Amino acid sequence: MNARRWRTLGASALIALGIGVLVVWLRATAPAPTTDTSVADVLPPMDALTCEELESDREAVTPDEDTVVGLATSGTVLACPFAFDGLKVLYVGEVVGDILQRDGGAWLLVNDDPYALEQGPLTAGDTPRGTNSGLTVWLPDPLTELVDEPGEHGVRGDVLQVTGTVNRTDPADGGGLTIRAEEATVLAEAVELDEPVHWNQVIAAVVLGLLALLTLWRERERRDT
Amino acid sequence: MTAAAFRPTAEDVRHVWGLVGRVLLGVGALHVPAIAVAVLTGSWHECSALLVGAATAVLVGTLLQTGVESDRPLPWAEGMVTVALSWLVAPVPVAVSLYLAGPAGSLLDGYFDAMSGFTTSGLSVLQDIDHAGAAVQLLRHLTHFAGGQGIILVVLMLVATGGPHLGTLLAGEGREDRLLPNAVRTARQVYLIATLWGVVGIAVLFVVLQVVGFSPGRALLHAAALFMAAFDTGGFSIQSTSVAYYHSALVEGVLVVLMVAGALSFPLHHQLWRRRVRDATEDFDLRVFTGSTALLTIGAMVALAAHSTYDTTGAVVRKGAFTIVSAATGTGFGVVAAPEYATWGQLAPGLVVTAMAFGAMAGSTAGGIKTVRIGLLLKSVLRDVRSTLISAEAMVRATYFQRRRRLITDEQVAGAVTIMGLFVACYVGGALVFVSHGHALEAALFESTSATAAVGLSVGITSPAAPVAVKLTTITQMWLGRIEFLSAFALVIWTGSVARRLLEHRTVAVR
Repeated sequence: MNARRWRTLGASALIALGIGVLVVWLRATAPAPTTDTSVADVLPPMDALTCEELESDREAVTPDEDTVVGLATSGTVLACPFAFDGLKVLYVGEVVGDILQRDGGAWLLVNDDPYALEQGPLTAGDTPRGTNSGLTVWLPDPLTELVDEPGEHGVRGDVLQVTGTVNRTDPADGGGLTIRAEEATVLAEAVELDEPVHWNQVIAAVVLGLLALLTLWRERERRDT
Repeated sequence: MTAAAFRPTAEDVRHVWGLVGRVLLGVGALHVPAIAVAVLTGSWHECSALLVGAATAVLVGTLLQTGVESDRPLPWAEGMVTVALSWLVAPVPVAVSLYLAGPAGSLLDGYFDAMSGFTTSGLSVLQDIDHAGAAVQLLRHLTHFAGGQGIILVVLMLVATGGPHLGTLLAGEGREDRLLPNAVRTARQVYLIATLWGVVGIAVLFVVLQVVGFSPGRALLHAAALFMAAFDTGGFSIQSTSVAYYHSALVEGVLVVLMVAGALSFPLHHQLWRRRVRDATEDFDLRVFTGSTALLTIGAMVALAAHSTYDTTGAVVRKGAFTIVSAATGTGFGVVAAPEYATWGQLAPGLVVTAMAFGAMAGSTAGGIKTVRIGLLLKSVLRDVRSTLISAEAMVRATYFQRRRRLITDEQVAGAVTIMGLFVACYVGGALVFVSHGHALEAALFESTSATAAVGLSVGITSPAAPVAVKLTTITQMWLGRIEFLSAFALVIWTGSVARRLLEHRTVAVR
């Protein structure tokens, strides 16, 4: 076989490998944001309800339907929706995405995952903490006016505490699982992340970009001649 | 496969990698709109991350194709190998971008998401997607658009001079049914059809999303993403709660239309384009697809009603029908959270798995066994039963309509059985891997079928915390399901031949 042809392929493989090492190093050296986004100090001081305590003796936990039975988390509500159905609970989380205004209120996605309540929006410099987790909240007017800024890229949105009833199959949402809020307060207002510039990555992007353009240009020249 | 395929020369290897290099150039170009959005939104970290990914694609792609003649004929086997390799290599630059931007916890997770995007599966292991930037979201959805129509088609458009020799690439992607005699014109026609649907689909979604509460800017981003995920039967979503996020029957209705449009074969779209409506409505594959989807939808709604999962008929229809259409078209949009499938009983999830396993029309952007194969098998079984009932020696013929009346041959049936057997083996094999990692058999079958059939519905096995073996199994399933196995076999045999020749070369050199 033609050794020169193999050398070209080998060189391409080596360059790809080199870029791979560079990429891993860039991620490892990415700076973490300097903004403090934790809301741990304003969270209600109570333990979250568990599926076990609701499923073992629901009547003991729920004396009547108007009593707030405790703090619910999205993880437990999704794990045992039948146990939570119809219960009035306290739920805390960050409003993310959009405020979907409809007649009489708005639909909100309220996340209570680590990105919402602990470390803030994930950046390359952070340790990933899993996928998002949250619940749909129907916020009636005029409570919708409380929400100023939902979370998005680079922004930890308003953190809401709502008191409301869990609906396992809410007819108003085509059978979706929702919390219909009756009271709401903003525990923490939205904050914008201060993400330091990752200069190593910027330099790598510029150098690799120029190299790519140069290689492309040379190949075009070669083909034209 | 020709005999030459088993003794590839250095020239052959260079040619295959040269074509893969061109696919990489296409992947680099795919980054451009996303980089532009990063610049417009001032997301400089995402911008630099995507630039590294794009530059990697262009740099390695250009090096690979240096010195390769574009007008060299492409034998069948090389075409198959090129397809299999392209689908493995194309996700790499996107993985780099997603990893450096932040949402991918590792390069493997980035590769998983990119493979899922290109194969239009829609399973995802990205983290904190609710805070991901518009540029990253656009790039992910563009992988659906490129993959849905076929990456190789993009290449055909880029290298039109090599087009006449690249027709075999279409077959390697499971698209033997050309719309036009020339492969490049076929590619252009496919993209023209997709673009027209895109203009209409995005416009309608843009209006509808504003009606349901979106600001114009957000509506445009969501409309573009939803169109690409629906028409290309991908299933990625901008928010973690998928389509449930929109709380709108209107949005779900528009998406059902787009998903079904994506599940129709491009030859069928072409017939409609040429106003051959009667040919289109009599199409055998279309009838099997619509018939099976309708039956499964009714079955799922009855099962949900019988299980008393939902309190109202409206909820049963919205959740049941949408999920079956999402599964049958291979899209994977969800209107319930993954843990909620546990409240559906046994039958409804079983019907969802069946819909996923069947897939949609051959020559569409969807995966799975494909309804035409299911239909051919059913017709051949009926033919055999009728033959037995008439007399042992009776010759009963069975036909089907696809642009013209065709006779069902034993070779066609054998081919359908082979592909079906390979899909079933992949469904079961993947499920066994998931079971060996502690998951229940029902859940494992659901997730495994979803991955192989490029659907994307999930009961939670696919997650960032999943073991590496589970992620690698899922990646392999998505890849195998997309290229429909045969190209993968060709790649394995070809790689073995190349390795053998290299060893022979070394032995001679040492002597």
